[in-house]
Amino acid sequence: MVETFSRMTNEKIADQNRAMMEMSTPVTTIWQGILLLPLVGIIDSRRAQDLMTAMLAKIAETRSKIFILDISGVAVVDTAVANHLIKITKATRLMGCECTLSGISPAIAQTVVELGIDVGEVRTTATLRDALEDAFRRTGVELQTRPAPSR
Amino acid sequence: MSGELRGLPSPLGEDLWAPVCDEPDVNIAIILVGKVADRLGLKPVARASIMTAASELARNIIKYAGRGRMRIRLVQGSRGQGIEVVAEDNGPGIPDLQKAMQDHFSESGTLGLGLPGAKRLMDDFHLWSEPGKGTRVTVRKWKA
Repeated sequence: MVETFSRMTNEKIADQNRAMMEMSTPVTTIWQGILLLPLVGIIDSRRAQDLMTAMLAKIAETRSKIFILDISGVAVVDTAVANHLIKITKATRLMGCECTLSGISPAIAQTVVELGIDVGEVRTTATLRDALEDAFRRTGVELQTRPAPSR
Repeated sequence: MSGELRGLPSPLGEDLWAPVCDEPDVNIAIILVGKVADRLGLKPVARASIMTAASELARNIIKYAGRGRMRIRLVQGSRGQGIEVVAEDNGPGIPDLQKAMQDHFSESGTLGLGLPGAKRLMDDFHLWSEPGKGTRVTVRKWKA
């Protein structure tokens, strides 16, 4: 019948949650002029503020022109989170850095549309790979697959 | 077993209560909703929908009432099994329900899509509010 819900005390969840929040914002230069930040977990306004600060500082420091913010690991994009993400992309653009939100899952795409959020000019891709290929194209990087050596 | 009282779905299993007093509480509530959705076996889009709606409702509690609580449970109704989330507070209530359900109407300077957006995401949506008494929003997502 109805199994008992596997209990997780609120404290335990709070601990995990805190741990998740305190995970640093590991902005990485994955290529010259291209920054990457994979986001995981739940975004709240404090974390969004931290993110924006970290991202803008890294842009200033590296003079990068492209930022890829991968949100495939973000569970929920509600109106508040979407608003934060839109603001982040606006702020990076003011600094001359184009921010792409990558990793938009079918579920996130549908919920954002149902909510009625206007994503406007925010650049988005389904996968991190698409964002990376786009970034390479825009920075003039060409990738070549070497033909397999014949044995 | 699953007889419905006056068309109301009957609970399956125990209720989970989550206090909503600050942002970490909102995050915990969202995580709990996700866990119950997983237990029900909701598909990714439905799972994201109920988590997103719950998030909107929880944030509204913080924004307008300061504190409140959420009840999360599995229910059995005429459409099969589903997940139900109730968000309630004893806050000031919503002065104009019609306006509150309009897109882009916000009393707090935010997008104003939370309530109408949550309604669009859900299969069932009930809003009760009385000025000076509080607000209660019930949402459901059915598995089928």
